Amino acid sequence: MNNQHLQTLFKQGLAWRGRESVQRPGAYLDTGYETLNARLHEQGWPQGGLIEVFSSAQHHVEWMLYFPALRTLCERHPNGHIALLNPPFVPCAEAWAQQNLPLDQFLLVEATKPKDILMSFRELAKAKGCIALLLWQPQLNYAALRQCQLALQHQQGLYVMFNHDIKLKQASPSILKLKVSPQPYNLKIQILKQRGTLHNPQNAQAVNIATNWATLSSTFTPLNFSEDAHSGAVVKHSF
Amino acid sequence: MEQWLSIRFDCTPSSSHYDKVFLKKLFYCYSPHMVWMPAIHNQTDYGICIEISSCLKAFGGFIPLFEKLAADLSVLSTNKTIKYSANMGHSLQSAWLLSYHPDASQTTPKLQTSTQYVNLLAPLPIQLLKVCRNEQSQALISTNDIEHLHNTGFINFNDLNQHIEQHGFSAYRKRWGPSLIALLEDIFGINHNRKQNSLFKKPLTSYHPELTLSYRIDFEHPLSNLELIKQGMHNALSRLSEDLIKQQMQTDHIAWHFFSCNQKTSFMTVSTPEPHIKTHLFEELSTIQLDAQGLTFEVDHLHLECIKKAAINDHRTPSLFKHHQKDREWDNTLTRLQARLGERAIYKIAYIDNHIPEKSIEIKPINQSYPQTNRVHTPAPRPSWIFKQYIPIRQNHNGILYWKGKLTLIYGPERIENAWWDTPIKRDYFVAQREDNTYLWIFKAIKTQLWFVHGWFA
Repeated sequence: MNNQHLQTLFKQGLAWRGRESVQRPGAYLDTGYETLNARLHEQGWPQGGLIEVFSSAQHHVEWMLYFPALRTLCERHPNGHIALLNPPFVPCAEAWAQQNLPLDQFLLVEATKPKDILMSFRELAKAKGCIALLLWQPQLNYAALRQCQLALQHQQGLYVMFNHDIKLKQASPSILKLKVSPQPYNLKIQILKQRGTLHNPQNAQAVNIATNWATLSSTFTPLNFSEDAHSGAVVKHSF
Repeated sequence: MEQWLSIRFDCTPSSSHYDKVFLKKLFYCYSPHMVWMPAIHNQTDYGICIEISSCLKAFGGFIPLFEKLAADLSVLSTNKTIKYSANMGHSLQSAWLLSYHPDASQTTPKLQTSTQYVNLLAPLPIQLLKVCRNEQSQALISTNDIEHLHNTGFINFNDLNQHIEQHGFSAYRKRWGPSLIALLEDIFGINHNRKQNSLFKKPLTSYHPELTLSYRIDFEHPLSNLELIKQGMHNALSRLSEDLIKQQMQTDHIAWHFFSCNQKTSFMTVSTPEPHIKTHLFEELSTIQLDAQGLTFEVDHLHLECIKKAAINDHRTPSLFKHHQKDREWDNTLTRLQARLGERAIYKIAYIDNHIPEKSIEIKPINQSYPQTNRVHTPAPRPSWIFKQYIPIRQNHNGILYWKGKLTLIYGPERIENAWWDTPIKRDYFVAQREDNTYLWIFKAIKTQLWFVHGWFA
């Protein structure tokens, strides 16, 4: 590769020098958390590129992280669609309605074979009506991930892939790589890779974002495990 | 004046030579205005009436038209002779009744005036009214009404005609209702001397032949290579597209049949969200579906059938301009996904205002837009994820709960119970914090005193 080719890659933001922090041209989306925005090059979630979020198999923190951004997207694009590819469980419609998320804009897709997952990801990513695409446990190898990333090159949506942290060391063409672990009342986020910056995963500094979990315990009612204690229920729903 | 030609076949309707569709196609060559008459008389005869006044010029008169029709009918059967009775009438009902006239035969009937037709009807018994059907309701005249007429003293059509000429319709209307009046007006050609009688006349029914678009592709030898089969499918779809363009039709549903040499078959339907005149999307979807479905045998020949079709300007079909271009692309994307993953793999969810958690979620088809329910049943915390099946929680002898770690209750209880008339559900829900800082939605079934995980605060 000669110098001219290298310069072209630098200009397009496809390659960067290790210790230089480069602002990548492109759209971004407010994460909803100031501390996290401050640590991201684009001051928000980068759009048009693959974001990988790693967490323990026992943890699911995706909505805490992405509810604010998705709400913003839904407000900006009332006719857009958000695709959930292989969600691990059924979304709780009542909780989403509480969050004022328009359920009609969400589409759930279940694909089992890696070939089908890849095809579905590419089809949805290319669709102009798809404003966000969230994928769980993709079981995709590097070549497939590269195909996903290439499919997103000219897109402007939010594309997130949730994965187990056992795959943390697997090479990936994603433009942003995060590790998320829940704390008592907040989320600890480690930025492992960010396009335009050299990160050392060993020394990745953590960002803590406040969650609304604290509000759950603020209404805590002391419990006694005798059967009669339940008569003091804080909320009771029945006919 | 209208001129109706009636052809009454003396045969059983099950005979293939008298297949309705086939005969309709034959008669369509002579006139587009045709009515299929029912098999009533002894359940062995039925026929067809065609209005020919507008077609006489094209055939050079009535006699050449009838001779050509008789020749076509004689060609229908090589082994046996078709028996039929033909006659003419000034209206649909009179022509059909006159096909029962003793003089009606396979020889060329005569064109006459309406008065002459009424005179021909005169000796026919009124029991023949049972072969007529009401123009408006398409219902047959009831046997009771005919018996009443007979008991009143009307023996034949001459009696009816004379009574109408002398006393008008008032007695009939009172006793037998307006439907019989309409029928008699049609039979006797009574037009009430209106100034513009054509304005009050029901337009003639036109027959539109059913277009069957189906294509068979034979391969030189049985094929298992999907790429070669796809080439055959491409050829069939190209022919379909050409025919659709020629006929200015569009379709949203096609079917593929694959056949092997030893009678094995496979079936595949392909549908699109909107009707199309071109078949690019059908080809793409068929390819995806064939790849996903695969074939378990070698294909000897395939058959393409266009199931649903409609004219391009047919207002009953969904409009081509219903969606914006962006929406159409999205619909096409979903159709491609459905072709590969199956229809059940893609869905939406909706919130239903119900305090039983599992009943508050409804799975909706993707092509259906629905108003969002803004009313949330409760301000109490709800998890982002719900489990399809509750997962049992282990409880030790000290009452401490374990599910992939020790659980601590931090919010609750929230009592949720079902209506007394429904399946009994009585649960106390809690938010529990696991030792790894995961928040779960758990409940205790009051009846069994067992604990279950039901959701996840993600």
